[in-house]
Amino acid sequence: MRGTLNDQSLIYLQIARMLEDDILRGVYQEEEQVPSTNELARGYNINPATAAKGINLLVSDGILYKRRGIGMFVAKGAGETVKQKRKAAFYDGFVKPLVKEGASLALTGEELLAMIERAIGEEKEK
Amino acid sequence: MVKSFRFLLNFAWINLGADIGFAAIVIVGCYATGVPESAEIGNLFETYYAMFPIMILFMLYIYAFALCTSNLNLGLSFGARRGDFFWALQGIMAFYILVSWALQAFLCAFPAVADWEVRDRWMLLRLFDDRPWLFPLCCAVFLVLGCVSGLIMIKYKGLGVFLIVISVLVLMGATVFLVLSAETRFAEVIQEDAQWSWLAALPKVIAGVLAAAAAGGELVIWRTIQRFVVR
Amino acid sequence: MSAGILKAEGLCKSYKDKEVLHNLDLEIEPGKIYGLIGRNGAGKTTLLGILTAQNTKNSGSVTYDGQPVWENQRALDDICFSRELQPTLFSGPNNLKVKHYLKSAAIYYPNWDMDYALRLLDEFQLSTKKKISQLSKGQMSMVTILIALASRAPVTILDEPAAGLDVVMRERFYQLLLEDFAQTGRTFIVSTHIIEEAASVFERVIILDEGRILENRETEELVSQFRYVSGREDVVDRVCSGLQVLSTHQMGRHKTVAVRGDMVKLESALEADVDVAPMNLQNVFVSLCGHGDAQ
Repeated sequence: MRGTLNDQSLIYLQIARMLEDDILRGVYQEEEQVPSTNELARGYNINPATAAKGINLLVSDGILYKRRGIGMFVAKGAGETVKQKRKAAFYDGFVKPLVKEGASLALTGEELLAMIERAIGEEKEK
Repeated sequence: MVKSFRFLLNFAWINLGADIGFAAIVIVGCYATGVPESAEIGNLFETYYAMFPIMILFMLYIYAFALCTSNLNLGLSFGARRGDFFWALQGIMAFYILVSWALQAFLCAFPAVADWEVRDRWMLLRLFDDRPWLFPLCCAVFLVLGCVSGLIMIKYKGLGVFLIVISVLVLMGATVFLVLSAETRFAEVIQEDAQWSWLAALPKVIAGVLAAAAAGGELVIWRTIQRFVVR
Repeated sequence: MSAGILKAEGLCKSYKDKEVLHNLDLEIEPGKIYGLIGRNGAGKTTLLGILTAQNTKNSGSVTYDGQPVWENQRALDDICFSRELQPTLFSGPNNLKVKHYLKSAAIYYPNWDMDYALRLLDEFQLSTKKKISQLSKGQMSMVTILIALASRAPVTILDEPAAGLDVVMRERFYQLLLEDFAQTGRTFIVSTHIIEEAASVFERVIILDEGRILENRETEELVSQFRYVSGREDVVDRVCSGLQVLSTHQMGRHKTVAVRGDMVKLESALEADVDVAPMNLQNVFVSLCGHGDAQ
């Protein structure tokens, strides 16, 4: 059904992001086929054109490619490409908001860094 | 046009089927109550048989109500061409007239064909022997007037009701007059007495007026169909 | 079964002295699902009626594949306008049986798919013997949907198909619509009140407000132009200067505005301490057509 789509972001971006996440998690390996536009549309009750827009975004980023007559496939090195893309957006998407929020709570730079180190430690223990 | 005709035919079957069914019931009822044998019996079935042509005409009037209202609305909502619908309407009216005429002729001939003992009882049925064109004309007029009444009803309810009452009275009056003119010695009286000679022309005049009214009604129907807004 | 372009140019319509459609231009590209949204009385049904030659216009033109739609057999064959059913017709109950309604549709629509109609009848559990006046509101909506889908018309218009359906049936409707679209690629125009649910189904959205078309563009493109900006009023005002402010909501010194404009400008102003949130189609619609009503 409408599954994991929320109305917080444009649908085609959500589709693209979801496929990227799946590639990172290993749900789709390199050279493996991803769901078609129609399958995505049917699965999430969205317009096929919207699903196509999401897929085309990944195609233009070099994460997916099209095999004529068959479907859309994960490109070689797609995992790396996604990571690079996410890294570039990481600063604006995560770091700046973190600092901004910290500033509004009047946390000092040292307190922020200490928290980050603690979180890294907790992540390592998992 | 074929599409609209088939569409209207679906409703026509049901309506005419009701007429035929009713006729069958009346005939059976007559047999059941011994009407064919005796001239004395004056029960319900006998009356209905006698009145049948008039009944057919009134039923046509009622059936025609829906033709230019709910049927038109439905047809147009499905994408009927307006011009096509008008001509399909003509075709359906012709169909109604043919079937009604056949039914009326059947009822007129039935007592003789079925070998009833008392057969020459109903003046009304003999009425149309002299003027076979009269019944189809009356059918056409009642159909057109029914259409127009329906049309006017939806726009101006008050005016519609008024018109219906007037047309019913006028039509009844005309019918009664036509009946009388054939039934009684009225015709002979007119011919003898020069004072009343102008009345001899009246049936023809009435027929002419009715035909003109029908033609005028058709114009109203055409115009209404062209400008109809689907709800 | 290739659809032509349905186009309205300079369309004007008045009822008595009141103008309900003002110089309206609209082009419906084939093979897309359009959402037609607007408030009650905006003129949606009137517009759709005129596009399908079921209503008359005062001036302007409506063409299908270059030819006027009026009395145009090809346009009338290709376009299905499935209206809301009415329990009363001309001040009397609508005594037409569902069976006859479907039979009539089958006569007029050249591409009518009877098997599809029967399957839908079965799924919706509709009894054909019932009269329209005996149907519930939900069942009437289901008949509207059935006619539209089974008509297989190249251009299919549905007027308020979801009204009267419960949420489960609505989801099923969107599913059926998308399945049909995936299979046939025909053009759909869906007029609806229920905006946000249906937003993901519409490739393009047409916003009709008081007889004028405010927007006719790709849904996601439209939505991406809008944001909510909220925070302290002076900061918000500064951040939003140069952007089109559509609505304002203020509580004390906390101000929330709906803005439309160049998002690049907005991004750079995000150094300031304001919250920026996206707006969905329903939010966009209300801010465009709310006319200052309470948010």
